[in-house]
Amino acid sequence: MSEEKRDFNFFEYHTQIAQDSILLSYKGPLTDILLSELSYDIRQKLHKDKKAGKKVFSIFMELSQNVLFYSKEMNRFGNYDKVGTLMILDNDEEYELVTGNLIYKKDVPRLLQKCEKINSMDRDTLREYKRMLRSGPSHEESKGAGIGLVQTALTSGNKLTMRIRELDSDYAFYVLFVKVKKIK
Amino acid sequence: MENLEIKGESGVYFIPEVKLDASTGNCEISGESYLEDTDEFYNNIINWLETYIKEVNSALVFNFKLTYFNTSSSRSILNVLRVLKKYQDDGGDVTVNWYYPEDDESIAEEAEDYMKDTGLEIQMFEFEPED
Repeated sequence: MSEEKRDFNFFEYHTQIAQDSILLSYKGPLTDILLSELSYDIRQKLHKDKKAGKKVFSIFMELSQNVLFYSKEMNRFGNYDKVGTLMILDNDEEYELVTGNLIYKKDVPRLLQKCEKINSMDRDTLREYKRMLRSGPSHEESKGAGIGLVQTALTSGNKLTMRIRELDSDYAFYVLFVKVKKIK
Repeated sequence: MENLEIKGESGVYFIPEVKLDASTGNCEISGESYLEDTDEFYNNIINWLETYIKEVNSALVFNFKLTYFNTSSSRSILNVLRVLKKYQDDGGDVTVNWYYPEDDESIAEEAEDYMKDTGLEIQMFEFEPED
């Protein structure tokens, strides 16, 4: 695995984003209600570019659910809500979704491998892969169909970018970037 | 046999509109599907279908007219289609119509994928969703 992929400084990345390109930026506890509010906002904001807007919405739903489900960071009070970062940027030619959350370090190789696998497939192969995953037994671990990432790649029509930073012996921070071309 | 009707609702979750008619065998799921408990929702539909198949044993016309559904729902929809395919294999009269929003290749592709998964013949139609 490339070293560069494992030493990503999310904080630095975050400070370098042009403020006026940010459509959505949230870091904190996640709940179903919050995600629903954010997704509603996205639909409103992207109303004009119907096709791309719908893709961004649909990807946001999958990725935000993933963060909600998989994040290993949670508040130690209240409802012990999961914590994560969700961003959507407007980069002129495309929209970009960025999500970040804590994961177990032991899961890093599996996640990197999954991303590489998805990126190595052309559309038809990806669809076949999705069918195979979807038809299989549903995994205890994933509340969803376990195909969120594959569907994200299909919907976006682009490669996924994954960056990781190992934090200590047990944890790493995982960031996912997905681009959706604007359709004018 | 009772009909099954579920009112579509949009809130924190998106509940699709469901109308399953036991007297005509006409069934429709429309709207958006993103649920708190996807399995429970669709198992309800599957149970109804299995009862219909057992007790009424007549033709079934199943119309899908969804404008959005998450991957969890996509798995459950496959389960519904499997029930329909089994009925067809057992001699049942089954028609499946898949309506997809115009310009939404993703949803159109789902039907193609479902056809490959189940071996069902699914009629595909484009439609213009209300905004």
